[in-house]
Order: sequence, then structure tokens, then C-alpha cells
Amino acid sequence: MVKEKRLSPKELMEKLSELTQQVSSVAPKEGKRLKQIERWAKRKTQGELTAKEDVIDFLLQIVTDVEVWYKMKSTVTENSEVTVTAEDPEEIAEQKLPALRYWYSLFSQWLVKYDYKFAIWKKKVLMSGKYREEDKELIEAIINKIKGSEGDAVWRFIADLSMATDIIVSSVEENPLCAQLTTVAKKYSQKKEEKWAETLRHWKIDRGLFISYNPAIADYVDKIVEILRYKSDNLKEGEYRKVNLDKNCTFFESENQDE
Amino acid sequence: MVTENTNSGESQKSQLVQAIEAAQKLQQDRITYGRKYVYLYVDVEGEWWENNENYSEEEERKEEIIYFLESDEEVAVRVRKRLKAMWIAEIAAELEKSLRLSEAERNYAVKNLLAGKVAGGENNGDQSKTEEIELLDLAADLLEKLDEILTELAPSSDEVAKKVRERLEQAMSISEIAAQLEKNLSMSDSEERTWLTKDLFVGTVAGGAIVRSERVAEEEEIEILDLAEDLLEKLDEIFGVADFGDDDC
Repeated sequence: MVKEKRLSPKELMEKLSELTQQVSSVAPKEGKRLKQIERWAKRKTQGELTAKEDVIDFLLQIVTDVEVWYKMKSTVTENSEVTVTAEDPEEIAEQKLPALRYWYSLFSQWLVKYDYKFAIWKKKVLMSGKYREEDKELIEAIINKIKGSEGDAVWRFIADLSMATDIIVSSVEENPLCAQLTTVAKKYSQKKEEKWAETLRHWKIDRGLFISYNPAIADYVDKIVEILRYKSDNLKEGEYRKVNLDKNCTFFESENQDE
Repeated sequence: MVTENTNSGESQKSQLVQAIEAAQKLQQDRITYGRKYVYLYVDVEGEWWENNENYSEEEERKEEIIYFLESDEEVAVRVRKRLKAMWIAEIAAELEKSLRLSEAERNYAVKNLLAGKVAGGENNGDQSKTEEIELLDLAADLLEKLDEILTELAPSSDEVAKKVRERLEQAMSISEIAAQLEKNLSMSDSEERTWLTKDLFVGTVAGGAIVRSERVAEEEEIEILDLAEDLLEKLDEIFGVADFGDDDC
């Protein structure tokens, strides 16, 4: 979104409505999803300030991503009469942003496919201001490190809440990987892992990594970054893996034994 | 924002590049400034859009069920195929109603619905064995999906919660009940809390829309008092009511 001046919330909503109309005329299914968002956001706006900030954050992300998606779609359609393939716009390829490119392929799916988590997070998470990005500082550090070393990283509300993906990363091989991070202190259950994999399958995510980490170990951020980069280069197609980063990090040793 | 269509492919390309840059910048600002980054783009305290009518929880659930039934999910497709003669909104309304039943009743109601018999209708036993199994199967799959979608939106199946709903749902919305209870909880005196909560069930809420029935029979009075106590006990479990009204120490 090109920032000229600060918008009022009302103006932001008008932008969304405008976009929704535009999208609906060329892509009715996607338009329908945007209408759902509009309806929901227009329904309740009272609440605490943090809840309002979350709603604005969400709408800003949606508007910005829909604009990219829409332009990708219209570029492809006008130039070669191919229907939406968000995967391949040269511009993103040229800019070496494999994670971002992958995100838009997921996003274009999200616009048309049923989202089992949408009902819950619309209500519980966003509207009550309970959305806390607990791992925010960690994610921030990871993104900076990965971007600083020939990598790409994407961080979005929808990936997090709908797709069990805290972050999408890619490294030297330019192969995007969807990762979920959680601390070892949080109760980890087999069921939770199954749910995670099920969610990834629903969105046809190619490769997934579930990292549970112990923030008490030294340099854990660097270690997570190392794991993410390594796995994004090496995980096989269709593979979902879980890594435990706890005391005496044995991750790389066990990897080597595998090979 | 969305700009006018142009004929030039080149200009379109650069618009895409601009949009991508904007998305990248938004992410970077989000990282750099945290949640407060939104103030760079939007004056959160400025003018908000107008709220639509307040929807009841029931309507909201119904709407979510409609979204599901309209989707390409396999279970949704099977349901639609089976109930071709019904409007999706009708199906959703029936399903929403069934959520308020006990588990056994719910299974029965959903199976009947899928058999083309709306709640309350008699099961005339005209299905073949295979069809019966198919129906049960689909009912189970459907309920599993609804459970997944609405876990936290579905009415609580707690016995006390159910009784509270039964008593009050005709007269007030769930959010009104909650608001009233919230007020009652702010009373520091526990007897007063019980009394006010009891009054809520009898229908003597100050300024409330409920008209008190002629005279509440004594038996019912006791039943209501019991319910009020049970409810406050539950709320105590949830919030630790005992601490209400005290300082946060």
C-alpha cells in the first residue's frame, strides 16, 4: 500500500470495499472471501484499543496482499491470457523473493478455499485483542538474520492463524519452507503435532517444520536460524518434520547420522 | 491502492513492483515497531466505520455454518447433494438449532435432517440399511466438522449453562445475560450477588424488558435460587469471583 498520508479506519475500510468490488468483478470466489472479511469487520468495532489495533493490522495486511495478488493476476491475464497463477510473476522471481512468491500462492488459495480456523480466530483472537505475538521478538530476529544472509522470510497473520505457519523462509537453494515455532515449555502433544500436519495438508503446503525450542539454551536464536536455513535447503518435497531444540542441541549430530 | 487500468504492460509491471515493495515495507515496519506500527499507516483513534446491526451469537454461528456448507469441502458437498431441495440457509438454521441439544439428541436431529426430515418430524423407518449407515456416517462427519469450526463458538454444553439459557434465552440475548451477570459480579457482598442473580432469572432486572410473571411459585423460587447459586459457583471457578471488588493485591 502506497502511503501518502495516514488513513482513518473508515478510509481503510473504504479501500477494502473498493478492492472487494474490483476483485469480485473478475474473480467472484475471491471476492466472496473479501466480502466475508468486510462483513465481519463492520460488525463489531468496539472494544479495547489493542483489539482495534489488531483489526487494523489485519486489514492493512489484507489490503496490501490483495493489491499484490490482484496485480499479479491482471498482469498474467493481460499478457498471456493465462488465468491466475500467482506463482510465477517475473518481478518476484527477479527480486529473488522465493518465500514471498510462495506466500502469494498460499494466499491465492486462502482466498478461495474453506478455512477451518477462520471462524474461531475472527471472533476470539482478533476481536478481543487476545492476539499476542508471543514469539514476535524471536521472529523479528530470525527474519533479520535470514534476510541478511541470502534468504527470504515472510511473516503474516493469515499464515500464522490459518495455516499453522509462524514464518515462511527460504535460503540459498531458494526453496520455501513453512515453519512453526514453539517453546519446549508449552505442553506438547502428539495430537497437536497431528493437527499441525493436518492443517499443512489442508493448504497443500509442500514442506513443513515444527521447531520446539528451549529459550534457556545459549544462542538459541542463531541455532533456530541455522536449522531453518539447513532444513529449507534440505527437506524433501512433501516432508513435515519436527525438531526439538533443547539442552545439548543434538540436532545436527542426528542429522549427520541420518546421512 | 488500486489504480486505474492502463493499457501498457510496462506500467502494469511497475505497479506490481510497487505493490510488492509496499508489502515488503509493511512487514518490515511491523517487525521494527511492533503492534504500534499501525499508527504509521492509520490514525486508529480517528473516524471509524459505522457498525452494522449487532448480530446475535446464533446468527453469527449460522453464518459460519453457511460459509462451510457453501464451500468445496467434501462433507459440505455431500450434504448439499443430499439436501438438494433445501436452501442452504435453512439447513444452517436447523444445524445451528441442533447445537443446543444434548449430544445424543443432536446426533438424532442431524441424522433426521439429513434424511430429509426436519427436527420434530417422525422417523418413519423407510430407509434401507445401507442408506441408514450412509446417513449416520455423514451425520458423524458433519458434526465433527462443525465441532472443529465452531468449537469455541458453540454454546457450552455445561449443564448449568444450558439451564441458564433455557430460562433466559427467550427474553434476552446471550450478551445481555453476560452483561447483567458481569454487573452482578461487581457487587462485593456475596448474598447480594446471589439475590441479584436470582432476580435476573425471575425477570425483575431493573429496567429490563422482561415482565415478571404474576407470582413465582415457591417451588420454582427454590429451583431458581439453586440455579443462581450453581451459576455463581461456576463463575467463581472461572473468574475467582471472591476477589471481585477487592484491590488487585
